[in-house]
Amino acid sequence: MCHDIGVESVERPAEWLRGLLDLCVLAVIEQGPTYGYKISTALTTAGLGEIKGGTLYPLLSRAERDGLVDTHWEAGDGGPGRKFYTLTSQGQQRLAELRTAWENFREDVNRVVEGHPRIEIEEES
Amino acid sequence: MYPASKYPHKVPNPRSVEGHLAPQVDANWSQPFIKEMRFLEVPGPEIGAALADVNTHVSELGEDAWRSFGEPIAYAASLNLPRREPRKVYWEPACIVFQATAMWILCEAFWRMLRSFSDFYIQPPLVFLVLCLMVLMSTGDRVMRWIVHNSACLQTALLASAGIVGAMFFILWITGGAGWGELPLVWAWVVSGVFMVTGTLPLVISGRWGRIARNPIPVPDHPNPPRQLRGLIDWDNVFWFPVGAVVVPVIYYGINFVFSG
Repeated sequence: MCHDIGVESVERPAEWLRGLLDLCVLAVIEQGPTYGYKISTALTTAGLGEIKGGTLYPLLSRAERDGLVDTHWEAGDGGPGRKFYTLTSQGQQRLAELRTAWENFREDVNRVVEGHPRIEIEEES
Repeated sequence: MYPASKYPHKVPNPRSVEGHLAPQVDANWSQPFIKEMRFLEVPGPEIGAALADVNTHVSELGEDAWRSFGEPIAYAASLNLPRREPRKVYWEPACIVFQATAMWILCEAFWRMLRSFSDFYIQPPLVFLVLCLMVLMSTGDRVMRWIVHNSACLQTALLASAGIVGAMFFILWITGGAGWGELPLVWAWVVSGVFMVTGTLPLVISGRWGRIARNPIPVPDHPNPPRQLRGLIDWDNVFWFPVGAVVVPVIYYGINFVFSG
């Protein structure tokens, strides 16, 4: 099953990933210096679907501008150079905040979806 | 999924900026991307880094830039890179209009000289010039954006201008231009020369020493950025009408020579 961000998927709406992509990308970068294409591949391999360059690089550019990642260039394997991203301390802090927020959000969503507690809906008369 | 390109893949000229910095990227994608970035007044190093990202991604994935990054104009805007307030653009297309008018006057004067006339008609080219400038004053910025966003349309616009000049020239040839404003022929050379210099010089100066030329696009793995000989209008398009002003009379002279024996 392949989800392509930018396309409505029957199985999983694209908006879900769009809202969480910052968190997922920062989490991948946390594992070690990496570059755009590798990040995209890692997310696809993890089952999140195909992440287009047009979605990923604006996000990385914003993260760099916000000081969440440091960048440096390295020569490619016989191809063009690669821009490597490393998480800064500010990025680590942001990732920790996003992780906490995600955990809380996931629990809240689970409670609602599983019907615990039962939600009282006031009917307008 | 982004749509595929509407055009066949175009390999960038290796001597061009995009060919040097992003050889793997379809030139139909990289050219409007660079132009839009220039239009937005994004600094050269930022453009180079963004273009290098695209080149690396496309090269590693083996996918077309259109499929991976979508429309270049939309992608350039989505990066939201630091930029200055884009300036309104009027004078670049106005220069082209001056060039077209100069070519018109020159061709007409040449034709009249061959026919041993001692005068020429200034009114039609002046009306053309004034009308075009009026249109540009109201739509110049939009016209320039349209040109930037459509790779083939500057050539189309230039061809259309040349076509209008040619058509008017032909009408004058057929009708003899009777009843229109007349000036001594020597003025035609003076006016066309002044108009051609007025149209060409600012474009040449801007292309060689202007803000864009002084703000080259480097990327980290290409430490020596190629010199970009162009402003918002591509360098080779700057010389369409000056070259045409030489070539058209020569062709006309050749045809005239063949048919008159």
